[in-house]
Amino acid sequence: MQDNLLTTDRNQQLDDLLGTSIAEFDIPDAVYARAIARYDHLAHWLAGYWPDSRAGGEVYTQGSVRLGTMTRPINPRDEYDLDLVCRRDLLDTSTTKQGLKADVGLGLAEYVTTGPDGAPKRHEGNRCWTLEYPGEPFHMDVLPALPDIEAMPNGILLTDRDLREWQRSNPVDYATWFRGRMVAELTTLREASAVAKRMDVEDVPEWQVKTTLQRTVQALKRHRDLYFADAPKDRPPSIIVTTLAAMAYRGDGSLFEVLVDIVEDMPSFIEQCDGILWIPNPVQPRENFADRWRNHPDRAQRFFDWIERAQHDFAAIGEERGLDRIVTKLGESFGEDPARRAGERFGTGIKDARDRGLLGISGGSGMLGAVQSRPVPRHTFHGDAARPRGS
Amino acid sequence: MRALFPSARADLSPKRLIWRETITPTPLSRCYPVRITYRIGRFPDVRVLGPALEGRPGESIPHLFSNGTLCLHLENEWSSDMLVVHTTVPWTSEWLLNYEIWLATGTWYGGGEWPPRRQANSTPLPNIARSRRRRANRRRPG
Repeated sequence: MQDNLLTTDRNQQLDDLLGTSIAEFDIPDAVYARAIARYDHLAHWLAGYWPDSRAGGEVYTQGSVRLGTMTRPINPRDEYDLDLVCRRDLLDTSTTKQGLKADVGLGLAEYVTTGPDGAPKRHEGNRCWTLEYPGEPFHMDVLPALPDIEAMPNGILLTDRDLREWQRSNPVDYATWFRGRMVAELTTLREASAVAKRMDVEDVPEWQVKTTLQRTVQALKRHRDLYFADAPKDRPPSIIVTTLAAMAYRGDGSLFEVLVDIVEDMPSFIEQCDGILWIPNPVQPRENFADRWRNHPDRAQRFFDWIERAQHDFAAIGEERGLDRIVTKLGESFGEDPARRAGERFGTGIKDARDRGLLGISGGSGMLGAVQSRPVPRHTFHGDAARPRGS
Repeated sequence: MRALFPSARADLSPKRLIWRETITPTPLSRCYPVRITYRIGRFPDVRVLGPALEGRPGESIPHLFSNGTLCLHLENEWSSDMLVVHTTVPWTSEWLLNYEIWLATGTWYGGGEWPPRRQANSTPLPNIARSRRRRANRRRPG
């Protein structure tokens, strides 16, 4: 971060402020580590439990936890969702939707009775089961699924909300597609992290680095959550935001440039088929992520209204002059707290650089930056407190 | 000074130097025309000529003398054998950066003391003691 702070390049410094704000939406490392440990334990236990029953199965992550785009909820009382797929290796002809759900529910009930760490409690939802971990800021939504024999090896069949129809999905191949959109930067970041930590690249977990695309998706999701805070049902689903962002991503550019470019280009990836808005699943083109907009055209309109607002808000960040005004604009897009913390880190970073003799000044503009020849000497801001000026 | 800031305007008389330049503390910051006045035997004075410095609602701008010049250092942190270009100028740039962040956050991250206490251990420099006495405690360097 300090390299970017001490730069005289406007884009780099803007990226630093922006990146620091967005990093505030990350799930804290310690919480993530506990959540993943709970998930690992569950997955291993069920893998051992099922061979004793009539068919095997597998539990794996899907959605933002798999994509590295988890975003802190705007309400601190809300929890992080860890979305899990629980695939039972049965044929759709040998079970019913209700039977599948009950089968997975039974496995989870057995798991809970073994008293695993975190003392989870099982709750039933419309089409999934939820494991609540008392005192933890996360829960796990476990979605029952079957293998889709028409899309092996990773296609799955899910029940719909009303347990009436099978729906096709493929979260594993989707994640591979998403990863492919950013693989060059992901590799570079992991290599840099490995050098900094003096470890092998293979030992740097992917979740410990964040690419420009992942940061952009987090930024969009946070802006969306704030925009739809009073109407959460109208909120465009994360899969739509993530898919359009990844489609619009061209593979390079600074974080600010990418953010502005992506939000400008996202609408152009929405297709129209016979008057129906269509956002194809990139790994399953027959699936339309915007299917629900058919029955809720108002939600489609609200999506376009939101995109327009995000285009305006993101562009405004780059148009401002003055750290205070830029922080204010960041606050309008992402909330006051993360913006203020980005300002704080900027301020403490500069003071730390001066105290360590790393701060210098450029001729001509008096711009602070990395020391070239002579560091800025230590000094103490002071004043006459008797009659301070200002209002 | 001329080598580092070739476009600065300097007005030099036997006992006084007035130096005007526009300082942009970071690439994201506003541009601030400033005037630095250095009189022999006194501390350099720094005044921001524009844009007008603003406070936050209900709060005074930190590290500013009541006459509107910037408080950049303690008495014992500057002496007349130091070059303004290596001290006052970068400290001014730092002040401006911290001012912008203070406007945004309400916190001054540049360190220092605000509101200031009287300096118990600082000894006025010999070459400025006379002018300080003459000013009869009207102001203290910051």
